[in-house]
Amino acid sequence: MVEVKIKQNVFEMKLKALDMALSTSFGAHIGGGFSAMEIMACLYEVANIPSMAEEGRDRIILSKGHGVLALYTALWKKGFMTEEDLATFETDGTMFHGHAHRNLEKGIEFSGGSLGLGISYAVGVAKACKYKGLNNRIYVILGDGEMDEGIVWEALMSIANFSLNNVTVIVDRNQYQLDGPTADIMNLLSIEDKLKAFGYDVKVVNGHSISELLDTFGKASDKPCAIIANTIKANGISFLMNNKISHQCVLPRKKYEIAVEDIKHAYNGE
Amino acid sequence: MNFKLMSMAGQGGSIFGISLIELMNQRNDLMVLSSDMSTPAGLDKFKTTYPEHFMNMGIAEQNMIGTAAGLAEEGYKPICVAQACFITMRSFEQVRQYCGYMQIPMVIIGIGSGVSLQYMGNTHYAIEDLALMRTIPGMEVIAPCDSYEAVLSFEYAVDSNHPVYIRLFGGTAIPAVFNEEIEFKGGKAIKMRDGKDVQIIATGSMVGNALKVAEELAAVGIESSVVDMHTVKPLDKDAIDYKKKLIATLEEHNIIGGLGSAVADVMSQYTSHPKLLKLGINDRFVPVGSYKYLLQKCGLDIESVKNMIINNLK
Repeated sequence: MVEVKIKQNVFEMKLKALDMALSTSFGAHIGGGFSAMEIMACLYEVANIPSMAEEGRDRIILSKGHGVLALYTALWKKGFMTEEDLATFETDGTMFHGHAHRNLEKGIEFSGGSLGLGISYAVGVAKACKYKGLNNRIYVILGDGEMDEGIVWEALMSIANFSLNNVTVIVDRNQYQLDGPTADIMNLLSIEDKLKAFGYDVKVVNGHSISELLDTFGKASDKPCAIIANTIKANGISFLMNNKISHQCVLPRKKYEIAVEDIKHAYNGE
Repeated sequence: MNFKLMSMAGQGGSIFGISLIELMNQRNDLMVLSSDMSTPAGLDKFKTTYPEHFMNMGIAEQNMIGTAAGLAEEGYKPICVAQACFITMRSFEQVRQYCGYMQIPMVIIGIGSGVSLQYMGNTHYAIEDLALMRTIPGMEVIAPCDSYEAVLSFEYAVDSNHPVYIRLFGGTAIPAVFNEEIEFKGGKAIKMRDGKDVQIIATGSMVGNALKVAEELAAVGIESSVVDMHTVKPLDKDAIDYKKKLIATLEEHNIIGGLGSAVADVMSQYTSHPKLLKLGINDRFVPVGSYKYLLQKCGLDIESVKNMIINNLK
């Protein structure tokens, strides 16, 4: 039953994200938002966040800070953000711009945007939670392009070194970065092999499969967990999939209408 | 010189899409390195035309500077490009080590400086890059005011035997400040306008605004001179006019450590000098918005600058 609910959430999140993309003439990070829709929707279902004031809450840290279309819409479905909040997306003086800004009242743990900084921050959060004896989980969402940054590997190494098995690293493996396919720009080869060598309990899933994501999220291990979620950048939008322009682009009304049709078609009508 | 074309192409587009392509006919030692920024920088034509002279380093600015240092020591001339915030802040120690301590010449180009990245937010603003780059011994720091001056500073930097940081601002279709050819030399400021009361010393994106402010001040009877201080380090000390009632510095940067501080460093050596009004971003992170909105919030729009100057003359 929970899968049905999440599927409906993702459908509504995608339509809302398209509205947000349509509303800005600056351009939105559509590709990396749509690759992470199911990941974020499932995370907020699985994570234990009764309130942001609760010290023992699970932490969701979006290290790929440009994935805000998935984050903001997931927070909207979770009840942390309102329609009015989303309507201020990329307007003058907004708290909700193209990279999430820490705002606990609205459910945002971390100010993203500078790649690699979220996972390093998570090392400290995870260690502190261990010190405090909390029995919570720290989820970090990394982009595969983000893994070019050296600090990502320093952080990954220290998570294993400090036996932070309260950490789950989720790699949104959408195979693209701004300039094109990751394999052409900076070939990461096997992330699975690398993370195993770094001491992680590694699972590889279809990042658009709600059931596969639910099966892997929140599973405890004596090692830190890593989930490689194979995804498609701009998933579900016919003219943006496998197109590097989706990284950040303006969505004109005609294109918006096609995208809405694409999403509605995929979810069988209304 | 096709000023209109350059204005349309923007600073990065003019450097990488026009000037660099021409330079490739003259020399074969250029190597361009980019941190997943080739399309925004205007490098797409270059990288397909000269793939053997291009390295996309991925989103890894520190390793880009290190790789460039190795190339430079083996006889190549590296040109590194990334967002101004990341190339100066994340790679700061690499720039200090290789360009400063080891004195390795390279051209470092920061795109999208100041607050020009708008809705990307403060993580992507570069309001401290001038300050950081100024502290490195041997670094030359240039903030060109339009596309044409960007090209001139780029050609100057490529020909230099020392490291140069070039600070570019955002976008295409940026207004031209210069419509005729000029002589450009690093460290030599350009006098844009004369006036007896106030001297406005501006750099980068603010030079065009300074000229507009001067027009508005003239309309209320205040005569101002305007200096394009494209090179923030080494500063052209002789360009400072001590006979004015007021000197105002204007920069899209934190008021700490940039052009205003550089001018103050020089002026403070004298026992007698005019009042100095440092205009810039007042040591804070700013709210997020459109470029026009941000300039207003920072007090860097024409009206605010004009009023600050009038108030400080009283």
